[in-house]
Amino acid sequence: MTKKKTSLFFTYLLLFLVTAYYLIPIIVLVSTSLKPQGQVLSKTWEWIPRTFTLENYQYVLQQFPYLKWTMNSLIVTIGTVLITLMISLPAGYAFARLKMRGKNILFSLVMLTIMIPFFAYTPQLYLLISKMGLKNTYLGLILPMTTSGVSIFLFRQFIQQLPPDLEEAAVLDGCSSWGVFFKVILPLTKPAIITSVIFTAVKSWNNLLWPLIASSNDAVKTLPVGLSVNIFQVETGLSNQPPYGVVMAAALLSIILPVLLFVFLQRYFVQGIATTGLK
Amino acid sequence: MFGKKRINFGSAGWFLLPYFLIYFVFFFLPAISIVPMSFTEWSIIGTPKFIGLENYTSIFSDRYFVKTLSNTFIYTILVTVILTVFGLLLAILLNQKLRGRGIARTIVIMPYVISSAVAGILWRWMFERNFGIINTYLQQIGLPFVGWLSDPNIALYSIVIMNIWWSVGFNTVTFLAAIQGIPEELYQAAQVDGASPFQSFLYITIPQLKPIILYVTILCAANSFQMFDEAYVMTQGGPLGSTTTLVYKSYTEAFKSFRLGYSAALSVITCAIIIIITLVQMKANKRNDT
Repeated sequence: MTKKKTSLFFTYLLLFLVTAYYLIPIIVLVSTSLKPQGQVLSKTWEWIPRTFTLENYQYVLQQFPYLKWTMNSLIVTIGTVLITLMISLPAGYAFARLKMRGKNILFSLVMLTIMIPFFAYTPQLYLLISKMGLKNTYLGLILPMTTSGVSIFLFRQFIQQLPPDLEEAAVLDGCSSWGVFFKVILPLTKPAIITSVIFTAVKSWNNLLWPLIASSNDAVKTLPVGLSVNIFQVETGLSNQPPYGVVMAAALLSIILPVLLFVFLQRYFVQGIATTGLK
Repeated sequence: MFGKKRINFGSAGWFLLPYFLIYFVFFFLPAISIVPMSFTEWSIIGTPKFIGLENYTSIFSDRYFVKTLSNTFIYTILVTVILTVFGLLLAILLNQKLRGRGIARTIVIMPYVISSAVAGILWRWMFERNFGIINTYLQQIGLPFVGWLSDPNIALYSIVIMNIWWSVGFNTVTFLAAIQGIPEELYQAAQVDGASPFQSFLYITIPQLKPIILYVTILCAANSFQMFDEAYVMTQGGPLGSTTTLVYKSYTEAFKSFRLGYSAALSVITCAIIIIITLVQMKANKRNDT
């Protein structure tokens, strides 16, 4: 019995240590953002600021087009998710069920998007976007991010393991292939759609490389770019010390929305991640 | 079942068209054009000049390229191994019937929704040499300052530490779901046979999780091979190029030094590496199956 108790004690200790490791950076984030400029760089670490201030938050909201960047990020994320679903769902269905000559070759072409890293062709993509006049536009930020075959792969795998009876019945009732797709397939594919939405949304909201290249203008600049370049001043290198109070305030503001969404939709997040793993 | 004819659901063409239109313009064209581009010299202004294999020879004679390549591989291997092992151990811990398990799960997974820019700057602040929380405490217990991001021998490993915090949650959730899918009877039978918890872990959990472990490993390797954000936000590839990865190198060559031909040649080499690794892996998988 005592052996069981000590092992339980160590399990709880472990749980505590792990939780602390994940929580401490968040506490550092919050507490730094609430410190006045003069107290941020201090020889001793203060978990709770001696004097609380909201001046860092005020500074961020007044000095930078922060809300504009947030709106841009929202527009780009929602656009990327919607277009990805619109083009990947029919394609996933076609690869799972429909007949066509050369279908396998086409599917290997889709898989190329997973194999070839995005960065390998970003310069060429940038030149193309500039020529098409899509530089510094929402479409220029969105369209190149919708070509990834991950969602198609997910939908194909998911639809393949559905029993075809319902679709056959619908066809016998005179449904066209689009009718089957909208009336039978879409409702059944909901778990895979949730997964795809979560993956695409998180990836797009956090995306740094492409918006950094394709948006230099505040009118379309997304949050990660505005934060990194303008507020965190990362391009000046390690020798430069950004004002960490302001930096942490801006960082905290940017994670409020995703963290709230995560806490309320945690069940779907967990399900979504698990769905891909089990395929 | 014989005699029953499979119903034809129709032709795939119109269902594939929207995707392939976008695919052709925004993926295929730019991806294919890196090959001819890699034989030229071009700085965006003017017209590309054909220089044959010169980009390739100068890449292979550049000793920083070897450094970049080794950075990328060390980082990829470390992150993949640590994130897979730690993710699995964490999943086992969070699968125990413990009080506060739900909150602990939420806290561990939460960094997944935090952007790389925020995670990077947050850890850059904690790793800060003179005033960061880590060095402040090291100094208080009498240890010397560590140049977490300013020491060329350490910086890459500091980015690995940051990554454990930032992205292990995703693996943990994947493993948790898989562990919960293992039939309980297997464990009960093992217990009857007198197996210790460690033995059941070794002989039941691990073999049952093999496909998931493979999946997580591949995903981790693919992601960490393309590391850019962390190097961009935390170190700008420094100090002394010690955190410059392949992606970071192509980014600076193309968009800071405007050597587009050189950057394209780097991409071609990268793709060649990926194709070789994939082929080897496919062969290994086939051997395992038979």
